[in-house]
Amino acid sequence: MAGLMVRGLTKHFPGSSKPVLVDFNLAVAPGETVVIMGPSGAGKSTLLRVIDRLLEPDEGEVFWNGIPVHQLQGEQLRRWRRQVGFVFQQHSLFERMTVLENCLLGPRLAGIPEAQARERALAALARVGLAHLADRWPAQLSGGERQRVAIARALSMEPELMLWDEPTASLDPLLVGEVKQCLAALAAERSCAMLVVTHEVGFAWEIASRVVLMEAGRKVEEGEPGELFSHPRTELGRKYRQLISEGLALYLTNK
Amino acid sequence: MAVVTVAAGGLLARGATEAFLARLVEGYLGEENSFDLLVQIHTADAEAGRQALAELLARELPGTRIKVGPALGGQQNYFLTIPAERKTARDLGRLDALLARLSGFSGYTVLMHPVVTVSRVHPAFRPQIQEAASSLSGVKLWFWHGDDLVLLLENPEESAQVSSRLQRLLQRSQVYRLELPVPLAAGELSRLADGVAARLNAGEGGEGTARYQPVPLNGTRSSGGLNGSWGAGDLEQALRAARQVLQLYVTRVELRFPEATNLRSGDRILLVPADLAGEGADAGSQVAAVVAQVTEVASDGTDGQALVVKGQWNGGEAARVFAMKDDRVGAEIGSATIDSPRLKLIAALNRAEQLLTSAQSSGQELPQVLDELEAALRGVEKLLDRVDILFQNSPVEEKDQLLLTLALRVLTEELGLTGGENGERAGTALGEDMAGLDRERLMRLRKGIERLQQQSALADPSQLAPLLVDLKGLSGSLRDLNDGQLGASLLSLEQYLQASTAAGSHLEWRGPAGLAEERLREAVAAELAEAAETLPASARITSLPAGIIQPDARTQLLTVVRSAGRLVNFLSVAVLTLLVLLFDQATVIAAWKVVRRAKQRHVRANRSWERVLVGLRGACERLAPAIYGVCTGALLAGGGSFVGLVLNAAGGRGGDVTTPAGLAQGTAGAFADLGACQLPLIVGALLGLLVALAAERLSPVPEEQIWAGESLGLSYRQILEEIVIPTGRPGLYQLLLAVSRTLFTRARRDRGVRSQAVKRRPGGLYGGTSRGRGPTGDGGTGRERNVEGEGKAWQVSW
Repeated sequence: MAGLMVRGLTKHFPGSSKPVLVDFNLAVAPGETVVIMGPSGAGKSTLLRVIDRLLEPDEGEVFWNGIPVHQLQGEQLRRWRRQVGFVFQQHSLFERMTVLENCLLGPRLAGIPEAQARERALAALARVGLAHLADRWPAQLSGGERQRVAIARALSMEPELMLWDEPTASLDPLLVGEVKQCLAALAAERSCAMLVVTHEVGFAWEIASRVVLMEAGRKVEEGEPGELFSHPRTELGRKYRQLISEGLALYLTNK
Repeated sequence: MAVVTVAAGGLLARGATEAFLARLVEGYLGEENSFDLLVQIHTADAEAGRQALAELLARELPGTRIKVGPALGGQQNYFLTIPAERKTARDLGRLDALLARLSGFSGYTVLMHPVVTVSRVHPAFRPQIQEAASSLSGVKLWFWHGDDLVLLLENPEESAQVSSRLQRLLQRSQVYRLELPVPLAAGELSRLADGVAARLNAGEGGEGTARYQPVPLNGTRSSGGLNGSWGAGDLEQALRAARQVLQLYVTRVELRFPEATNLRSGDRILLVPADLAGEGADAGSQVAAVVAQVTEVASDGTDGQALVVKGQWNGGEAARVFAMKDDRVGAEIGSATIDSPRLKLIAALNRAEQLLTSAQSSGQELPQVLDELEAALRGVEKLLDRVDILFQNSPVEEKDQLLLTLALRVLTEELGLTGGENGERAGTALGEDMAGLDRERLMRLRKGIERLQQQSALADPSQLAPLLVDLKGLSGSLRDLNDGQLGASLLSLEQYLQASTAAGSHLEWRGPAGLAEERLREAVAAELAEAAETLPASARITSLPAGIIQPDARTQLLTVVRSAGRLVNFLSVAVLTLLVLLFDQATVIAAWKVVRRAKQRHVRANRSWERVLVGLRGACERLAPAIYGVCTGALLAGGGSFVGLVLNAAGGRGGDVTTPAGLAQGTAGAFADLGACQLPLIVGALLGLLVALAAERLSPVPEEQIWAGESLGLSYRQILEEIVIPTGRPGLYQLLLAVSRTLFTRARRDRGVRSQAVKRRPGGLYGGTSRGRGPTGDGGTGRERNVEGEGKAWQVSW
């Protein structure tokens, strides 16, 4: 099967008997954008990390285009990671590297010739609207800019799978917009499979091909955003629908 | 690398400190071995003293150079450099006697190097120490300087072993001293000393053991002097005075042996004038037998000293030496130089007499005659001075030569000297001879010369007649003195003064170290037939060392220098270790902790027992950074110190100052003391532990960066080298990594974004070919092969 296939993922953290993920299954087709939502501690970030093998699952399987990712080791695993763009909640930029160097890291690790790598890095920066800041240091950027550089760094690897771990969570509300725009544009391009963890229901409605609701490590509900938020089958779904209603009411009131 | 950095830093600091301080020492003492002695003369006599010193050295130690030093504390200092050929046991052993002749002389210090000095050797242990010094390897020669035995070594490396062996010898024995509140009669003291020794030895178990022996009290300390505090009475002081006078007249023999001799102190030899033909007994039979008794043999056995104890020496200064055994003459064993003050005085008097007679008969100008006369009588003047000093210091009211006669007679009676009538006769004859050296006559002679000097311009040669009479009389008295009697008397006096136990309140015993005071107190009390507790508390018991090992003056100062150097070295090593730990290891340990946590994420544990095991393993792994910190700190500081010590020792500056052996070793002893690394080792381990515990605070490593690095496909090593360490403090690792880091620095320099000196390693970490495969190419897919090819292209583009 093409795209991402997750089967029966289970994960405990050492010293804790409570599972973070329980028998989790998911499939993401190429070009599809799946939004994962759920309360804090539901295991959303853990799921992304397990998929990227940053965390080891206790049980379960992860396939990418039919390749058993859960069995990869060493250099093969690292090579797999280079096909995945991961945007963290925290910016995770390397402070001792310029904006361009941060974005060059992926192409260079992939062994792409220098000129081509630079082109690719600059193009990625241009896509997030920061080409003019290529020679700046991360410390000289605003929070939104930093997060966009993190996105550009992920894009510069020309990934086939993008994992977004609450990319706007640590941002000032005023800066959230530029990141959202960036993400929405990428989703619209449908150039790669995207798995997005977010708390923002409206944003999910806007970009998602599919929404997955998680609670206590389990998938509780899944569906297209319109259907899921209109006719929720679970309590969690209903809570999100209420949030949407309140948000809409607030929006209409303010309007 | 870090250890070398720490060692080099420590060494540099230590070297700079030692060099600076050693230069200060050289400023005070001159360069090593540039001076051998520091002679001190009272400033009041400095000018005359210097002249006398120069004359004395020119005569006795020709070639010796004098440098006038500073005058300090009423003493004028003179630095002497003795020529190498004169640095013999015989010449150096004579220094005490030679320099004592100088007026105003107050002492001298040995500056030779390398030497080991056993200072304040108790007289009871002199023979043992002397014997040990003779048998020790690495000792070039030894000589006595007052109560100090000075051992001149072959080379500085011998210092440690010579010192330690002497130290072991000294530590084995001790002198126990009892000071009684009331003086006891001589006989009682003697009985008490013997009785206590017997009780102590009986307590040691077994008959025939004599581990504790009484020490003769009188004449045992050279510092005792005429008015010494050793409980001597008038008789003893009179005997000491007599000994001094005898020492002026006794005929001394300087012995030289072509091969190391077996002669020992006390052996007798036959002396035959060198110009006399014949062999051994034949030669001896042709002249009146002149027998000498050996008083000292140098450590190398090639020379020695003796006193004429039988016969009258009237030959020249050179003599042949024959061995004697049981009054039979053996083979010729060497040559000798005879030093007879008596003959010299007679020669001087004869010369003076001739000059005066000639002046009287020829009417020669008196001033010129007087100059020559004065030169001739210089020896006589010395005699006059000595006699003056002797009588001024005499404790007896009646200050005339009868005291000496009386003393000698008493001595003869007490000892029976050479036995019965002969002894008495010898003593009496000597007393009469000494009486012949009439002090009145000597004084008259001096006054006559002084008078002539004052009135030389007006003097009439007819006024010389009484002076001539005095000279003749004195010369006659000297001729009558018997060399053999003088020598034998002197030896007898020495023997008596050493062996006798005069009345007094002190007693000493020599024996093994470690005798409890209580045991001695009980033995004394039992011998006095008193209970121990009734022995007056004021009866003090003290223990004295057999001797004390001391380094030479230079070594003492350089020891301080080296101590300062070691302290600086230790502090530098500690500081450098801390810096390396802070700047490098803290980052490494912090990264280790973060990476450990990251790795922990990859552990699969789907069963509960697996999770328990994982938890346990995690706990153990949490200890690992602390253990690493301890080991690294210990390695840095201990290794740095050790390397420093080894390099220092190799450079000739090693040595330990914490032991007597090491203390006496001097500056050039080449050994590295591992014990000296212990403290740095411990301090380094503690610093390492502290840094390990606080590593993540000292050098924070954001965990997100590890996540991000991993997600980009970097290995842990790459994350460490490319991200964590460059982000950490600028330490040694960063400097080293600048060579191997390849990802950005070159490009950055090219762009002029930031200049950073980086040396590109061809085919480096990401160049793709140095390890035989590209960063992503480990075989497999077409894309991978393509990537590998691109990797090469990228490398070329650099």
